[in-house]
Amino acid sequence: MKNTIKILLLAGALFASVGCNEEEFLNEVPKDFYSPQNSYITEANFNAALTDLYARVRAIQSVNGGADFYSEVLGTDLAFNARLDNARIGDYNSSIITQGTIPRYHWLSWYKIISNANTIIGRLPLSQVSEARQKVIGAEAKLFRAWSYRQLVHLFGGVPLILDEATTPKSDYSRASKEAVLNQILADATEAATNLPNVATAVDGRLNKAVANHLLAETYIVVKDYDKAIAAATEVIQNSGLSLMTARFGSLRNQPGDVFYDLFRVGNQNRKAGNLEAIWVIQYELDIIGGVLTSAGSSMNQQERTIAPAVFSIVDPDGKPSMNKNLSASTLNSGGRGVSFVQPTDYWTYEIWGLNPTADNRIVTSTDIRTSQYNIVRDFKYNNPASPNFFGKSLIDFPANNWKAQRWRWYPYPSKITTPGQHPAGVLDDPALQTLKSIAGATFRDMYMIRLPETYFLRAEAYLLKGDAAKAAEDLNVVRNRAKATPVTPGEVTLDYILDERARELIFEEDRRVTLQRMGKLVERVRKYNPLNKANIRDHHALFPIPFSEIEANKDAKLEQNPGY
Amino acid sequence: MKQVALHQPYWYLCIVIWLWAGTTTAQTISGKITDETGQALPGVNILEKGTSNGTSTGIDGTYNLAVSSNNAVLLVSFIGYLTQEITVGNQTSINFQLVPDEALLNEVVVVGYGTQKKKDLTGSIASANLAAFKEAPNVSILQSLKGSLPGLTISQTNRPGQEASINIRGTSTLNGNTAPLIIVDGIIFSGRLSDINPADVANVDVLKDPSSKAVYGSQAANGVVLVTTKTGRLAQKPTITYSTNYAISSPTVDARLLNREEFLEKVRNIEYRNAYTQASGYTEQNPAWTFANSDFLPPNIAGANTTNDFDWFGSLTQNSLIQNHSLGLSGGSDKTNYFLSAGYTNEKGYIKNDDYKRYTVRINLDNAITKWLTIGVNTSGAFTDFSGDAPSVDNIVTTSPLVTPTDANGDWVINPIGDFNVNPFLNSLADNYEVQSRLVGNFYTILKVPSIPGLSYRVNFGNNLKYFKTYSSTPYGAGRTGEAFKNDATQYEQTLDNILNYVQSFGKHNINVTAVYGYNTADFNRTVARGTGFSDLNLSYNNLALAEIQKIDSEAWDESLLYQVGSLAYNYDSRYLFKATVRRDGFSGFSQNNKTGIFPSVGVGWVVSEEKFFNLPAVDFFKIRGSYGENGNKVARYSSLARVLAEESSKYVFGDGGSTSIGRSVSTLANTNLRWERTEGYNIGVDFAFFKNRIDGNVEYYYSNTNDLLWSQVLPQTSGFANVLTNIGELNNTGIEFLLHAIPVKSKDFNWDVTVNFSRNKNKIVRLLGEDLNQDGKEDDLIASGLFIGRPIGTIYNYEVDGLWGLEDGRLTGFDPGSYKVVDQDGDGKISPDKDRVILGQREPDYTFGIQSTLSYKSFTFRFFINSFQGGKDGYLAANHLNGYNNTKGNASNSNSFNFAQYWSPNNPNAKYSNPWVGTPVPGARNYFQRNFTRLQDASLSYNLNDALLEKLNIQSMKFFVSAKNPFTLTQWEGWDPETGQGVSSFQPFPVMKSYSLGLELSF
Repeated sequence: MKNTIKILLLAGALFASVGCNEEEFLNEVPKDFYSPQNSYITEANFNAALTDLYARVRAIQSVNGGADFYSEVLGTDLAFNARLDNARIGDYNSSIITQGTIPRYHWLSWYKIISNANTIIGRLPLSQVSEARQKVIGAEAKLFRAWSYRQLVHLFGGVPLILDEATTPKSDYSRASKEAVLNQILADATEAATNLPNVATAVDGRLNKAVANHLLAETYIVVKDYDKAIAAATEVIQNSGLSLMTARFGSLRNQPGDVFYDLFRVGNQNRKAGNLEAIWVIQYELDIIGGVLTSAGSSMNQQERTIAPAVFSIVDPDGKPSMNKNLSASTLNSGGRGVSFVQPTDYWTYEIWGLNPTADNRIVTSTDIRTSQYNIVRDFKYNNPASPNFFGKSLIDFPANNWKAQRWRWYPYPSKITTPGQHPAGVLDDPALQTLKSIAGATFRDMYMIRLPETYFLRAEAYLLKGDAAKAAEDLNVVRNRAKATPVTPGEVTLDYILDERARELIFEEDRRVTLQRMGKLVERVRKYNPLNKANIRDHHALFPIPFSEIEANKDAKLEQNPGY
Repeated sequence: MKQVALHQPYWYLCIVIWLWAGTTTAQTISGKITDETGQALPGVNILEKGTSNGTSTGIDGTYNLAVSSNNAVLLVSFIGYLTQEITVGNQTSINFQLVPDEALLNEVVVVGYGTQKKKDLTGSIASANLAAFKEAPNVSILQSLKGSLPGLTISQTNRPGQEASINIRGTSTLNGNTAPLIIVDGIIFSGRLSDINPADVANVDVLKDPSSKAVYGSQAANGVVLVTTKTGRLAQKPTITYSTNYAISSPTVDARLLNREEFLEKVRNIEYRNAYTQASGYTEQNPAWTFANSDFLPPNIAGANTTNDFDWFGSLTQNSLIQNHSLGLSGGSDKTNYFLSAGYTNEKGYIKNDDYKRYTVRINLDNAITKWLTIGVNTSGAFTDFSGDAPSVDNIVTTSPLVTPTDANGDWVINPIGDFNVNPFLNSLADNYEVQSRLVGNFYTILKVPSIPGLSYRVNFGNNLKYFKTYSSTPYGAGRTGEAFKNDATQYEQTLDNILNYVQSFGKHNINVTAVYGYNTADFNRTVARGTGFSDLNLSYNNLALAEIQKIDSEAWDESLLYQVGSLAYNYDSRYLFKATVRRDGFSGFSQNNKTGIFPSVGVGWVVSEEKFFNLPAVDFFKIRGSYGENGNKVARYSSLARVLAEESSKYVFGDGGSTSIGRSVSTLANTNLRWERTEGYNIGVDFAFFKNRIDGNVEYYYSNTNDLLWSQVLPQTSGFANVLTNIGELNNTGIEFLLHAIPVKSKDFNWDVTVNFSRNKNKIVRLLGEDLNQDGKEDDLIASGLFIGRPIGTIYNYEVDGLWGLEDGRLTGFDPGSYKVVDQDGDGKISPDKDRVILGQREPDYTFGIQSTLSYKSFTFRFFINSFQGGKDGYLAANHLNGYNNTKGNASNSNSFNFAQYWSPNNPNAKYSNPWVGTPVPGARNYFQRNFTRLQDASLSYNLNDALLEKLNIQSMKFFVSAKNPFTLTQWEGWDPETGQGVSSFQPFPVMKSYSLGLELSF
């Protein structure tokens, strides 16, 4: 009996030790992530949510390969797949398809920004943020939303218009009219133009009033309200403290070059660096976390790698590597560490400068500094001391066998995609020789999303469509004068001329595909200027297809496919 | 005793000598021990009670034992017999006749929170025959279970130390957890079963049917694997067992990378439009074309002009070596029994540096402190070491035979083919430390209530602590600026079970009642520090503050599970059997509205052969049983919550010279109604034994239905979200299994024993969203998720491929010669995903079977095991496709591939595989093939030393063996291995290994 009592006491004690409050025991509190309920309260919370949007736009437009495989230029009138195969939009019929990765990448990425912007906009009124700051933060989020719809509407046509945060699963989207989407862009951008700070007072890299007005100018052109377009562009041009750079400036101003060359040197893009024509600059910061630009293997803007020619792959007529130590170098001659994926078309390399592709164009006589020896590299000199027969000699005079067989190994390229002499130490193989490791290939500077010349081009377009060719020519000549190019006469100005001028000024800056699709010029100009895609582009490629995955998952409503797919 | 020690030079036996040395000899007893029929019994334990002094009987059943005094009491024990005690007094010769223990003769199985006699079971529980695989060089217990139990599928492995996956009776979930619950010595085990020394395992029982599983309720839907480790036995003299084996392995397939000539031919094939003449139909070489005209980079062009033929795969692979050592000590006195063991395994991988080392220790102790109180402990430690970075296999494949790893000065070439691909040797030069340690301490107390016989109360307190450490540094990382990191994680799990048990017989009525109340918690923490940009790495990963760029990362989670179980087993005369259980579970990971669930079960059985009217003399045993039960499936923690993440990719720096801004965004949607996935089902089985137990076995039929399937619903990403975890639909599994065991020959010298098992499972989706949006009168499939009503989960819905396009064929737009000829099902002249995809078959096999056989002749034993998977008409399908070329001509030209696949070229127009670098407008099109195979998985021959010799050496038993693993496989599948599903792809080329081993087992 004594034992029984002992046992019962012991058992009771053990049993009691697990007695607990079940509800509390099973309550789940995440330890290392936030929930929407506790993450959109303070101004710092909302700033973090906005920061995410900047990072996402950067990822789409440059880190992830220029909107996936450089589809913003590849397969347009400006560039083609240098390797001439079907990949990388070599063939529209195997790339721009309903199950293709490129249309899907655009759709998913921009809609994610819209979703995140909607969360900010929707939760702002419930937050602790002051009303004055709510206006600014809301305007910034709405401008991101407007920008995303701008991309989507020009790439896909009328798309589902979503303005509220999704808190429950939805699969009943249907396409809005193109007009409805454009009107939403106008509404959001107008609010942003009212509430955002001027570019001069905004923090470098952040959206500002000028971005909103620039977007308004472009969108008013699409809805054919040319007066409002001109007014919005004028607001940017005259009242925003912006002006074109006309004198040498920045990090390499004391070295040979010109002001157009200076625009693309390391450290020269932000307003604080003295650049007065930058409107929206995608930010990179060397070796700072979040700056992305690091030699340590994180994602970078790969323009240099994809666009610059793969000169290291050339073998001279003696069978020796063309480059010292078989490595590309941080020089204008080499073009950084390119691999030749995105080759400019002859239209850009020669025609718009009035050159003949079959002639020797190594010395260009044009006064237009945009085609100067600093800004377009039109020669390649062998650079391997171990091959004395060819060291310092031109590839054009002594063509390499494998270049003759495969012209992709070298072609003239615009120097804005590389940073000669300014590559960071981490990617240099030998600092004395300026040779580059094979991991190089990033363009180590901030990137323009919008630069003032484009606003001039938009106003020129609006004037032209309104019927005022003289005013249009005037705007084009502001940009041409800075470039020391011969002024254009009003009689010469057409939409195609404006596109030519955009090509001269903005290649590898503007989203060419969006510009062409916006103007309805893609198919026409690809057939005219793109040697690889002219044969395979078809009329329906004027718009991207709606991704099949979206149509399929959208089970509760029908997402109409664009015709032809 | 000392004599024995002299035979053993190993220092670690000192402890044994110490254990034995404490006795003084006063008196010597001898005698003979016989069984109930008067036959001599060899191997019987005789122990002087209260000491560790003991011996065992020889072949003729005789023994000699020196005891300390005439007060000594002898304990005589033998498995299957009742233990006897006798006081020595002044006797010098004591003979015993042992009495069989009926209870022990009835095989007992572990059923969860207790044990049950196998013949009283109402559910389907399979017990592994571990002895059949004892001679195989198995590093993991899973390898000994593979294929040997019906309904249990264990995946093939191809890396050292890799944990195989387990599947029991088909897949019963869409996106829920598919792994069974693993219980080791009564406590939930969340780690790798391969961390347990196979030599420590006594039994493995697998709960398969819903009623048997129901005792583990919410976690049991995928089955339960119960592992019991060895214990000592009461009144057994100490026995030391040492076993070892050495194995050498090589790949089951003879794969190598293309050599120089084949590689160059491949480049000509890529460039066939130039390298061959058009006039010949691209079959004759064009003399004007040279490799300088190819996509070759300069190092390959230079290499083409030499005679370089470097075998990168050969130089970075080796014959794999495995060695296992296990040392065990077991025994017991009248109150205490113990089992101690230590194990060491060293596996050198096929890929150099892909090594695995494991050290294990275990102490299992059980002590009856008083008549009513027993305490015990199962503790173990497993220390696994994966240190050393293997070369990157992707880089091995990428690198061409025309280039070499070092230059003329003997320095490493960083990028041998001249692009950004890094020399694969460099990876293996990293200073890498990767160790996982697991400490298990399970403590238990059993209180027997004296005034109520049969009533006991047991507390299990399980503790499981794991450390994961991965440290690495390499000067070649981060673009050769140097990279180092430390990744430290700990996980602690705790289990507390209160188990009240009452077992009693009232006449022929036998009852067993159990009540359980307990919890299980887990807590995890991780910290990662990473640095890049080092001036040097002389301090390796030990001073990360020297890095220019420093990143930190951390992770933490916890979860808890709470449960109550009640179970009642009743039988009348072991003839009419009944069992019912009910379990209530609560899990933190479910939504606020659905934290708990209740899982009931019931089973009945009828032992027909016990009936008086039953008199078929050939039938020894015949039982019919049936059961029904419900089980659940958990979700991953935090699944019902919306997440806002601050991801690395959301960081940004505004302005020049700015600092980091941290971005955040909502990454997943919440589901406030997320609840248990529930599986209910029944099982009908028959157990039988015929012809004096020469044939026995069982047949099972089962049906299970899963509702509220946990499913990651694919959303249009227009919403900003890719998917959401939700509950939908219904899925069922039906199947039939049998296990047949026969002893065709049983004689004094020759015995033959064979076991055949067979399983067939049919999986079918019954219901999904219950919507008919296209209004065709039938419920809609979820094509976007690949789910079709009335079809299995593994249904393959894709384009049909009808060979390859030739040069002359009139091809559809976008297709190049050598690409898949995709069937245009609707004949509209283009291939579109909505109109041209069809159901091609399924991934699941149609049936599987295994044959295990043991033949023994005198001291020789030969065993083999055959495992087979068959797909039937259109099952067990997988895509087999040549890739690894990164799809561009340039990459294809400069990088290598394996030599299995005959791909299309104008010279090889009838190839089986498409030309992997040509364009196709339907990149997802693949050719599917059946993976059917029959494999001789294990074969072994062992020799037991004869008793005369053993006696001379004064040891109990000694066995030598040789064995082979995976020596032969019959299959039509091409490429690496049918079972792993690796085809001719050059991606992840880890071969399944075959091995031959040599071993020794010794006990004394």
